[in-house]
Amino acid sequence: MRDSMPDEVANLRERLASAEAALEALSAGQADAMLGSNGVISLRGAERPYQEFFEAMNEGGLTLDADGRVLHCNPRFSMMMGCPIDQIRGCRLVEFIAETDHVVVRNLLLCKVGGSVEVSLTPATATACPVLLSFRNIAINQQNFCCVVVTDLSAQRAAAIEALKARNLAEAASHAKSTFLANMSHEIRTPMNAILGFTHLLRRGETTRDQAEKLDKIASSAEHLLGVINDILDISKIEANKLILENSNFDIQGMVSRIATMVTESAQQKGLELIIDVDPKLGEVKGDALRLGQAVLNYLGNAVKFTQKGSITLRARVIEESHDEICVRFEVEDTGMGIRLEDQSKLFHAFEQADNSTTRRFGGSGLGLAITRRIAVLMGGEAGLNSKINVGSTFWLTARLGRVGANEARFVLPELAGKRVLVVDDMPVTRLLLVQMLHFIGLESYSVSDGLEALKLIQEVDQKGNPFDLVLIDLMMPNLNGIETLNSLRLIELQHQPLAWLVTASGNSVIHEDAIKAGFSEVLLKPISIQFLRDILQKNHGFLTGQATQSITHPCQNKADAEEILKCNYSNTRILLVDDEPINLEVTKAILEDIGCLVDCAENGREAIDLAASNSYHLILMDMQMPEMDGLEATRSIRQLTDYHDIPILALTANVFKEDRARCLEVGMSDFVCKPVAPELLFSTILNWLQRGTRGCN
Amino acid sequence: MKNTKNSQSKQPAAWELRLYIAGQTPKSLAAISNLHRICEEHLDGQFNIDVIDLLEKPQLAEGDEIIAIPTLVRRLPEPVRRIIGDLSNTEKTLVGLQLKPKVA
Repeated sequence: MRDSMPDEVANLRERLASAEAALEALSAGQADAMLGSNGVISLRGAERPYQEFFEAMNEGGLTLDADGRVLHCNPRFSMMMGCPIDQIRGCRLVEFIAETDHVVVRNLLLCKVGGSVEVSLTPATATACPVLLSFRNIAINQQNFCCVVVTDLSAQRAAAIEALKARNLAEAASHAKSTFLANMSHEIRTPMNAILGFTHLLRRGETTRDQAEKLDKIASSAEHLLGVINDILDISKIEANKLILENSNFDIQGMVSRIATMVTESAQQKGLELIIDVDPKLGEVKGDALRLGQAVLNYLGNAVKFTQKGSITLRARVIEESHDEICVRFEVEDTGMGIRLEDQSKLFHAFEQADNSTTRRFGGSGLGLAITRRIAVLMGGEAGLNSKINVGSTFWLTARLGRVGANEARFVLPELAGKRVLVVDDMPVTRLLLVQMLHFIGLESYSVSDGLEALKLIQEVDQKGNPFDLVLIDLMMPNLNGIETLNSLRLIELQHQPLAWLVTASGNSVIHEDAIKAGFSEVLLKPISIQFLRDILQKNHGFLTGQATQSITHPCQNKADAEEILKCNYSNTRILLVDDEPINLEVTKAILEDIGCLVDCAENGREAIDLAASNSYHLILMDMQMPEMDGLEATRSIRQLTDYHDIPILALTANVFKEDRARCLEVGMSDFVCKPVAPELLFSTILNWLQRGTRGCN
Repeated sequence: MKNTKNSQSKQPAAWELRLYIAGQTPKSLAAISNLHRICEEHLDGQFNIDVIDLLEKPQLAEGDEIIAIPTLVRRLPEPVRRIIGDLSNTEKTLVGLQLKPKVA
């Protein structure tokens, strides 16, 4: 019946229905707003700014419903897609994204928390664009929506690629340069060595004084230049990754001694005390001895170069141990002027010295420290320094080396266990080190800081019936120096006068002669390594264990005088010479008769025993390899004869191996003389043994 | 992008729908979502939806005599039908669009 109403009424009804519906919707909370009478829509004002953010922002923005359908997007996203907003609305998000990324996008939509993912956008007209989608899932009035921010990553990606390209180019250039230098190594070194070689040859020939001086200058300049070139080539090799480290067994004590020797002379010239403090537990390891030595030597050389007074200490310690590896820390501490904090960071960089004027003053390439650090790093360690102005600096490095068996016992001398030693030195560090080393070797060691104290203590313990077996006396001490101390000591009445060895940094032969004359039986040159100390103790173990007595009033002479002394004081010494080679017999006999000895010869062991039994000799020289009966057997038998228990029997041998020497000592031989026999050595050895014996001067 | 002018369909002609919203308010967003869903389910691809944001273009409210937001206007097929609200009640919306008979 409605259909028959006129149109106007129908229209009115329509409008009324509309208004009713609007009111209904509003009251049901299903509509947001009403159009005001002035035609302006009133909305909650607070939402406006966020709307603006969304529309204006430089990133793409999307509002999705729970199904992933785009409800709205902002102009930026529309630009990214190359499509009007209307066409984007209503589509599902995955329609804009590369297929390979669909799964991960769907997962993120389902994820309650949201998240980010890098995907490829597929615009209508352009190529795929890498973007970052950041999802935020929200719920409003129990309906789920998703806000997505789309960030264009293409600029970032392009920049990263450019940066990588530039870096690769730079690395390639640097690598090419280093490779070039490494290859030039041969080209540069060969002529350098020719310069040095021929300069030295000229020097050895006949030259005037003026020529000699000039040649010396050429040689030292060439050596300096070679040093700088070697440094440059080394660092290039390291940077070109062409430096390959050796991996072979070597002895740390030996390496340290070797490099210490290289700076001993210059340290001495400057009056610097050189102290070596290597953990006695450090022995044989596996690694690159040459490069490690080079690294430490750079520190040591610098320390000597830049320190004007005081001391330089080289330390080596184990800081970490594992089943097959040890980590060793080397330190070189000096009492130099120190290095400012600002300069420290430059030090280990190649081509920069702390101060350009140092190059002019002290020379050098400026590369030593950089090389040291690189070597340390190659060896699995690091390098660095601590320094205090006007106090000094400590340069350190760590390196990982392979473990080679347990070495702790090698320095121990059981035959000297418990022997008593007194160390006399005014420098606390040296005292401590010597005491520690002696202790490690197995001796009971004590120390005092000056000569007077030493004399007091030696007397005290002697009176108590517990005298010292050996005393090590430093030469340079205030009040009483080393020699004066010994002179005084020898004047004191003691039950047992200890053996006395002088410790000095000076290689001066005059000092050594004075020392010998004063009665020191050995002169030990600083810095003293534990290996050296052990060896010299072992060499003298006979004295220390009382197996041989040393004549205190007639100390050992140095080699040049041995001949003289034998001639003067020991003529008519009866010597039995045993050797199967007639020529050797003839030569040695002639040498000995020349200085006044009476020599009998035997050509094999049997003859030797016969002669020894029927005659009385002061000393026997015994060849080892002989037919019928060899030197070892003969010695064994001779020792059994009465009167021959203590007579010096010296082996003439070409064998230098420990096992052979051990066998000689076993059968009772006293010492060894190496073949071919050098006269001076023969004389000094014979003199040595004659002096120890009961045979006095005539 | 979806092609809204699909030639193969059961319906004789495409529907023209206009949804008036005001910014991204929850109801506006809900209305968009619900409208698309309903159309996909019931109109088999034969529809064109225009979303008009009256915050951006308030003058367009006049043409269809909008007095409340959101409002859905069915322009085609005729007669013009108007539904106010966020379209969350699917039944009511279908009735309003004459896709379902009104239950008396």
